Amino acid sequence: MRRFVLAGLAASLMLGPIALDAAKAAPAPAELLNVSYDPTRELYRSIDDAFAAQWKAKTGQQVTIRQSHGGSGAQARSVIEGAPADVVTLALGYDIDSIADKAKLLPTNWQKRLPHNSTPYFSTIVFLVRKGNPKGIHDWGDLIKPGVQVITPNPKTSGGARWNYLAAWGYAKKTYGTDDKVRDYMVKLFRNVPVLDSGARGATTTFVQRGQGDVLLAWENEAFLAVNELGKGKFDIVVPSVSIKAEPPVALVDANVDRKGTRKVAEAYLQYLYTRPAQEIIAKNYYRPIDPVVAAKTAARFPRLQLFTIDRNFGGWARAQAAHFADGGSFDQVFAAAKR
Amino acid sequence: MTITIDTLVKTFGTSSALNGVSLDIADGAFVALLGPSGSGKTTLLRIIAGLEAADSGHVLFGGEDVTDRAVQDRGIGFVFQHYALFRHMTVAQNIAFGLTVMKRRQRPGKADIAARVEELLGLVQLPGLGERFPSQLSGGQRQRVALARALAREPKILLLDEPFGALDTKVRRELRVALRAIHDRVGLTSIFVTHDREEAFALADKVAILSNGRIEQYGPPSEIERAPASEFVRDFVI
Amino acid sequence: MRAATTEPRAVRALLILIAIGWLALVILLPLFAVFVQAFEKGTGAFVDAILQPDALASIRLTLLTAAIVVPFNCVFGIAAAWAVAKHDFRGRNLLVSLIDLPFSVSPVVAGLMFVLLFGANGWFGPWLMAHGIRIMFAVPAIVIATAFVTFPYVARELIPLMIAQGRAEEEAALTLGANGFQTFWHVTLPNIRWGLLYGVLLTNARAMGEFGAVSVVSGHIRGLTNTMPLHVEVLYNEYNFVGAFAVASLLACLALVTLGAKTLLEWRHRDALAATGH
Repeated sequence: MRRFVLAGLAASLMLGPIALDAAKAAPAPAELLNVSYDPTRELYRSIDDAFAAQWKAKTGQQVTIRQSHGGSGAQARSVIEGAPADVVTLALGYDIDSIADKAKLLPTNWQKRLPHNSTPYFSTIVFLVRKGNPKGIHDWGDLIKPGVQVITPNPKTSGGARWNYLAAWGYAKKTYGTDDKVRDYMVKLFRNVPVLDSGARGATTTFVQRGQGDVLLAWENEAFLAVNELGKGKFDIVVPSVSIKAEPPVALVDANVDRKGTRKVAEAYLQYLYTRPAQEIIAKNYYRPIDPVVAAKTAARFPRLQLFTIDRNFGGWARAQAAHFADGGSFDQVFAAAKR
Repeated sequence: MTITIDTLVKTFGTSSALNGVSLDIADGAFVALLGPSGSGKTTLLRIIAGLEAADSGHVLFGGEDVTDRAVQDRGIGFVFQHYALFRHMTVAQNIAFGLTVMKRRQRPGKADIAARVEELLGLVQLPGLGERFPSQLSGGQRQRVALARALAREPKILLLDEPFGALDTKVRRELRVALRAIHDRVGLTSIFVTHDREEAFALADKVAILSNGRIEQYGPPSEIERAPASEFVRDFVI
Repeated sequence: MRAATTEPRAVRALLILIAIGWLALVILLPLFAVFVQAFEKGTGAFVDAILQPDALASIRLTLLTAAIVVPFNCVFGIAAAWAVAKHDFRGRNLLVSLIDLPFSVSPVVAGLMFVLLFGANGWFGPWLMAHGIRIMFAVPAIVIATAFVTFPYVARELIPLMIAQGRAEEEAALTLGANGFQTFWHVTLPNIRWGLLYGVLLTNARAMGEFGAVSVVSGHIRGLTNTMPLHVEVLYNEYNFVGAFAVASLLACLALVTLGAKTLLEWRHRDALAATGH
């Protein structure tokens, strides 16, 4: 094992001079690591550039923002294991909760520290279907028709998939009422799911690139990206009658920023997400802005639909996680029944 | 150079290879270690060379205790049964090896080494084959190269482990004569291991007959033939 | 006269055709597809994709990793093969099994092992963290994980070779007055050099191409801890197909370069090669 450590030291020695060179310039440039979930790659590329320019103009300091993307649950896991994230911008609050609970890298009340429950934008779950909607899919009820193939990632690893799951559950609850009937609906739904990708991006690729499935349950932003950028004229978005308000929160990772001395710039970065320029970038990338002015200006981009919320309809993430996605929870039962 | 072997004991795991072997070899003698396989003769030779360490006992060269001396420092030449030539080197490079690995201060110059190689090639009757690779030689030629290589550093003692074992009868005879001639010309003290009675008796001044890690008899061939020391010797040599 | 093993001409032609056809189908065609995709939007787009800072960083990281891991595993592999092939000692069989371990452990598991050791909640994590030593989700972890999965190649290549060659030549060198190092340098090393070269090339190819173990320990930080294979996946997931396949084709080129280097060396040293019987 010592050999390994030595190799590591050798590597750090080789990289050392690069860091030293950089330190000579004044004011010392800063580097932030934003550990994020899957579909936000394009969003944060624009935001990072805009923030770096704004920060440089304001303070004279050069800031580089490094991005890491993956399934939300997996990303939280790597921060718990020590990935040096200054900020986390994940798909759902539960994943940041577990960083606070398991690794104590930030206080458990993190969600109270920024406006709107630390959620600078929201989104929802819509359907992406093949051009002309050949299978006639218009609402959640159509997903359980025989012969319809539904693409959704694995809720155990993907934040987006958990939103998908809860959106479907919420619809069934509203439509059928009793838990037994809801479960029945969910089993039928997962019988129509041929593969479970580990992240939202993987599921999109499966649907868009490999041409698998009739309908993709997708983040609204992901669906717009597919329609406008990837396969113009190949897909249609179907907005169901009801869906869930998906709230991906952001948080400062206190232990990491204090160790690295990046608290000031990291805090500014998160606050920047709430500013008008950032909100406009957010809207441009098909995430729904929370700034009322930007929201009004861009309202035409976003279809109107009834949205229920995690807090009101599922009692918050802690309870939803325990009831549905923990081992032996409703997803495990549904999935086992669907495979029978 | 005289060789004195003083009560050598060697065991491999639980089986004993040598049970207290003692032997005195006179300067300039040509001695055969003769015995069936498993008698301990090769082990004895390897301990004399320093390739193997004895559990107890001593080896003396010219009255000097070399028991704890490393094989490199014993000043011996060793010829292996399967030649052990360096496959990737030419014949000349093989023969020169012992000289090229000498410490810089003692090492002869390039020209001297080349001359010595030519001389040795002449001695083993292979002139002009220096640029060949071992794979391009016959078995008998290879063993001659191995012999020349072992003699390059002018050892006083030459040890040979079944040197003719892998060769056919005709080549064996030729090589035997050549070896004896070289031994006499260079003034070596030689020990060779064999399981072939006829070979031992034809070539050696004295023969040591081994059985089960013991020396049954040690003497000139005529004496052994005339008066075998034991039943075993009688059965083995006659 | 016809040799007993000679098949009719038609059978032979068919066999060759099948072999080449299969080779084309499973190796050349996919490789070709990668290059076609990479140049789909022209050479300019290809060059642009390679010159992206993140792509360059991933190339640098991959080369750095290989540059550390290959010499290191080369030395280890020779030492281990030497110990196993030329010496008898207690625990020899255990050492052989241990050398093989990385082959039988899934790369993902290998990565997770290092998370258990060096992760923030791992055995050494807190101590490393307290001393400001960053291993996990940084270059050291990538190097370590790569070293682990490429561990056996050199040793595995050399052990059978060294066992087959026996100890006689080394013993001969010793009796000729060579010391341990001279024996190794002049006798052992030349005898194993082709096996060693092959082992090094395999190590290098795997070190550059490793995905699973590195993926677990890398943290996927763009421009910092993404090696070329990881960067290919990132670009692919971002629908940047030209970029993904440009980097992928570069990775394939690196493999072809190592293969070319091997062929060239074999060609230049074919005399010695024939003499040593490899």
